[in-house]
Amino acid sequence: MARKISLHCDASALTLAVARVYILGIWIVRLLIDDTSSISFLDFQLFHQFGVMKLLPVSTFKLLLSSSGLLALKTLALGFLLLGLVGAGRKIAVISVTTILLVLYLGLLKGFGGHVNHRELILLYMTIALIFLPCYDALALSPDPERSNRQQQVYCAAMITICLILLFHYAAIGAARVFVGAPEVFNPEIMRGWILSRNLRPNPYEFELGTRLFDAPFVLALALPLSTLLELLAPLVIWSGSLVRAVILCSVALFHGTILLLMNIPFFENVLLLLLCTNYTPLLIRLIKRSHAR
Amino acid sequence: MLLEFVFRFSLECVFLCGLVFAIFRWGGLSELFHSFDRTSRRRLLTFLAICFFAQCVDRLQYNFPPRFDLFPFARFAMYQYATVRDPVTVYRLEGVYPDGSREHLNMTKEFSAIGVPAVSSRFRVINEQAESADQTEREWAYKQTALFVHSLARKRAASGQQMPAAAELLSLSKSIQSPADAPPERKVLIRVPGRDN
Repeated sequence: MARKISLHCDASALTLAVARVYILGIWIVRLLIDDTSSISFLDFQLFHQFGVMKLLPVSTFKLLLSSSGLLALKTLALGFLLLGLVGAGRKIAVISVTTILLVLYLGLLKGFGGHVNHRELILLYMTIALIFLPCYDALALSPDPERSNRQQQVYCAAMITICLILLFHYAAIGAARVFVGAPEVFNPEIMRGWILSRNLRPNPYEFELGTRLFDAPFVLALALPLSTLLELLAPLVIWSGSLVRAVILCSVALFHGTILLLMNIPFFENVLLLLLCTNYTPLLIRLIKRSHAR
Repeated sequence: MLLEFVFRFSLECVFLCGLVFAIFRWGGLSELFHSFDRTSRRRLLTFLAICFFAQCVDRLQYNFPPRFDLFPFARFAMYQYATVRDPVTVYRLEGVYPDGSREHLNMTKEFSAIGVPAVSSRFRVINEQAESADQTEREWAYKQTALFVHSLARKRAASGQQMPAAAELLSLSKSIQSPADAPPERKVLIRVPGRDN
């Protein structure tokens, strides 16, 4: 007997369309505030082609990593993101091209780092999922002609897919810590070392609150086990009642805020994406009714 | 050691498989996914399977340059493993002006688009190799540092900002037991020209 899904069980075409606008909107803001032009000053010899970027010839990157190349790529990506946001063109083509441009964009930036960090990857995976989901059925200039044939359950499934991408990865992080690092990783001295190194190493935020925790050893001892438990419990958001869901989501948001303040590591995108794991359809209906009443 | 890692990784994969099975079988997602048409369902499941595959196999992502990576897919396993290290060591890049004054050349601010963890992991490797016994590794570290400093000089020249005469790559060490306000121990690893290098 399958357990009843309580998240987004009332989802409609509008719910999914709002998720599309929200996901692509986050990308637009992210691209607009990124200081991409500074990347063009970095010497090409520092660039490393990660993963699928190896499929492209080196000459492509020499061209793209010039100031005009980066500007062109960013403008093109913003253009396609805007098309997707307003639901113009053929969904599969627009979102696919957007995804390719975003992968290229991230690949160029991360190519100057030592590894591909995860900050934007959940957002990217959600964008990829939009290619396969009926996200052009509402709030779209070119709505999908097949939208009238779709059952309501399709939108519930689509929203759960989007949420699952985020929630599964939290559980996977928790599982990695339990199976790879336990029990040693939960030694408070390790947390102490991590906080110290994240406060000491160069970062743009320069919060030094983390080291203040050194006077509260019980906090150091509990921080990682509690975070791991929270990560492992994250998928419960799909089946839990509204109170438990709110507690888990608020705790995860608080956990990201704490990581920023104590360790100078931002996960702004993830915090914003947590909102997609709330049942916001009734709110949308209320907003529509109110606008009709006016 | 290797056997223990293989055993732990295998256990983790078994757990993740069980989690996915439970979510789909008992969590009702299997039925829900049947509301998608066959093509969409297949494509979605393939995509989710790739994410899952990356989570299981992308184990060398923090080595630079990586021998194997699956970008844009990656394993999510932040702060998964560590041993107690005392003191903690980090990198720092400082500019030195002719009058002896110093400036912190914060590459995470100067090239913020790359991202803090990515910049930090590159410099961690540079610092490690700067102290290596292997001459080739030390030369690689020197070249990487010089290229970053040269890039910064180009950026500053374009905006008319001042660039120090020299730049030093430092290793900062601090004991995890020391008071919060105690200064870290500094060690110069590499010195490169700042301007016109």
